[in-house]
Amino acid sequence: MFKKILIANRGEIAVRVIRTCRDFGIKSASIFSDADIASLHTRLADESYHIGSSAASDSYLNKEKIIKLAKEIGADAIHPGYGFFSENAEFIRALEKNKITFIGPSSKSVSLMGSKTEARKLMAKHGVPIVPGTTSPIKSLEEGLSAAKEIGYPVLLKAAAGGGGKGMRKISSADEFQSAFEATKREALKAFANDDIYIEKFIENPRHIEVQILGDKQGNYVHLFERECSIQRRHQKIIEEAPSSFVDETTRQKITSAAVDAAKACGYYNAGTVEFLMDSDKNFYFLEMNTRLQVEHPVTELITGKDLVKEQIYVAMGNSLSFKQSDLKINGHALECRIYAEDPMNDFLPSTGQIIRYLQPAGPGIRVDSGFDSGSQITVHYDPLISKLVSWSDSRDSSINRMLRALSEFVVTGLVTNIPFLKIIVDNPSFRKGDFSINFLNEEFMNELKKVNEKQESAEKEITAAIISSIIKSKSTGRSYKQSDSSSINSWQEQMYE
Amino acid sequence: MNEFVVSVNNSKIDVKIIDENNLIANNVEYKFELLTLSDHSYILKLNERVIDLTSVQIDNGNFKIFLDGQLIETAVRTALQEKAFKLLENSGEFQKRHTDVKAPMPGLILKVKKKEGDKVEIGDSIIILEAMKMENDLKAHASGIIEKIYITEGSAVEKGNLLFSIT
Repeated sequence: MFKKILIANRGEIAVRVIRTCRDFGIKSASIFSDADIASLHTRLADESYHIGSSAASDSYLNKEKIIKLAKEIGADAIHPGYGFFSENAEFIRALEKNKITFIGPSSKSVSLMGSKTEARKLMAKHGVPIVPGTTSPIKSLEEGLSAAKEIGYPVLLKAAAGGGGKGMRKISSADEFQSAFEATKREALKAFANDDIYIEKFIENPRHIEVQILGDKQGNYVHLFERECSIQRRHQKIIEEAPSSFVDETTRQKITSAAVDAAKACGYYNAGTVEFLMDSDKNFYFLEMNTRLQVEHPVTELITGKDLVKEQIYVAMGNSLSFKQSDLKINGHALECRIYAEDPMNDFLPSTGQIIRYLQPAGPGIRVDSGFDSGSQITVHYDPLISKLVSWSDSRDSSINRMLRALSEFVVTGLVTNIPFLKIIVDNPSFRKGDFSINFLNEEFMNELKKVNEKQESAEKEITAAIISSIIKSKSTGRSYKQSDSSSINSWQEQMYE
Repeated sequence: MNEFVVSVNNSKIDVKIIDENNLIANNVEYKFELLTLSDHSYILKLNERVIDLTSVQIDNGNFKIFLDGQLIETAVRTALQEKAFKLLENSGEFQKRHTDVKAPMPGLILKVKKKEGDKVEIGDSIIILEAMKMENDLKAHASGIIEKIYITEGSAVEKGNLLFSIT
């Protein structure tokens, strides 16, 4: 067993890893930046070390400092969480050199899956279905045009090194090809320092289905069924669930065995996720493989009863997986909502500042993974994810009801959050029926929502806001109310002309 | 009794606070109780409804109210202040000053989509500001002509920095 694990991350995922370490009697060490001195992960870990200033490049992304610290404090292993160093082959190689175990896959698997064209080639070779398209970067305009013609429009142009929706363009006809080709190349070079691009068939209204897998260094593999993550905006997931309401048993068998094949193809060990697009006829295509623990892993934990972080740690120590495929079955239904500090009604503008009051829901079937509490600051330096709210119940419908109940209990004040928005989506008739695709939160939906929201807000909330501010103003001025009248005019006048 | 005029979004609401537990808002009577939990953190009982909210007074009379995950900004003025405010509002000067758009958060200016002198409509995209790994589209809040752009592409801005103004 490892004696001490250094967690090279922050926020809810650092807290999540600390909890498993504690469950198994392993000491945990966390790192923190200037901005995170009072964060939950800093306070919960057995040991905490200041690593640098607030900018991620100077703290959570400072490879040399992290490795030096791990050696100084005698950590056997580093857990990277997600983001930061979790999919950085260079970091893994540096750890290997320093004899510190990386709780994750080999640098080789990470590199293989890091390039989309390489990954596509490998999957095609091993019989995993891929979206029809080119398997190597296109070299010239002519080559691209003829490839697109063969695949059939509409097609997508994608940066080979891309991600997060950047460096991607839909083309509906040959006329649009040249300008889109050049623009995508420019964008790819700027964003990823690599202008390799390839072509894929554009799949209309697909669903995002992914399979959780686990592998060990002995070559054993299991899958932990699928998750559906179709509710996204700008390619960022908002609501995830397991199992998918769209996947039937036959499709499940096919897609999970394809995912295991994908993991085998790159000699993968650790927890990993194979992402697929699924069209309306339930054909599925390999999208990419995430070689790390994912944000949405709790829904899988709730329907399987397994601790994925524990398995990651076991496997990293060289042990075999602690269970077999036949030990696993789907129990009930789980949903996850990501609570973000952002304003969906205002183009998802992030909201920064202090959380003044934080009260999280509880009760039967509810789990909250959070890195924050009252008084915590949400800063511009990191992701605006506050908490993950997860519900479990025996059926999808009652899991949705529990989610609604929990969302109503959740109090986060001091910042704008997406909680009211999540309530509307979860209670939407199409969502309840399971009738949606990755285009669910399209422009039309958002516009309708804004209209409804404006109407509602103008009624009750505006009155309440007016009342509370009047009461506070009245109390704060108190007895000196009359005297302060003229001076207060001056002060707001000044403010207006600042 | 204290009488206020509260500006919320585009509407004005009259609030008369009669005593410790009674008020009238837009001619409707309410019973209220206010419980202070901690700095800025309150429980408001309004008739039979209990509301958990946060209120931050950003300066004298201007409040940010966080209610059920949403932010509502209010400006509370006494009857006298409201009169003075209206005079200023009509005096043109006020209009001009309030066409300035400031950065809503620190970040990096990714793109400036318009030039000085361009005609814009309300809702037109003017600047893309990258913050917290997300691109944020900053739109024209009024129709008019871009009078001045204070920043350039690639520059970093702090919260509150002037970005552009529309006349």
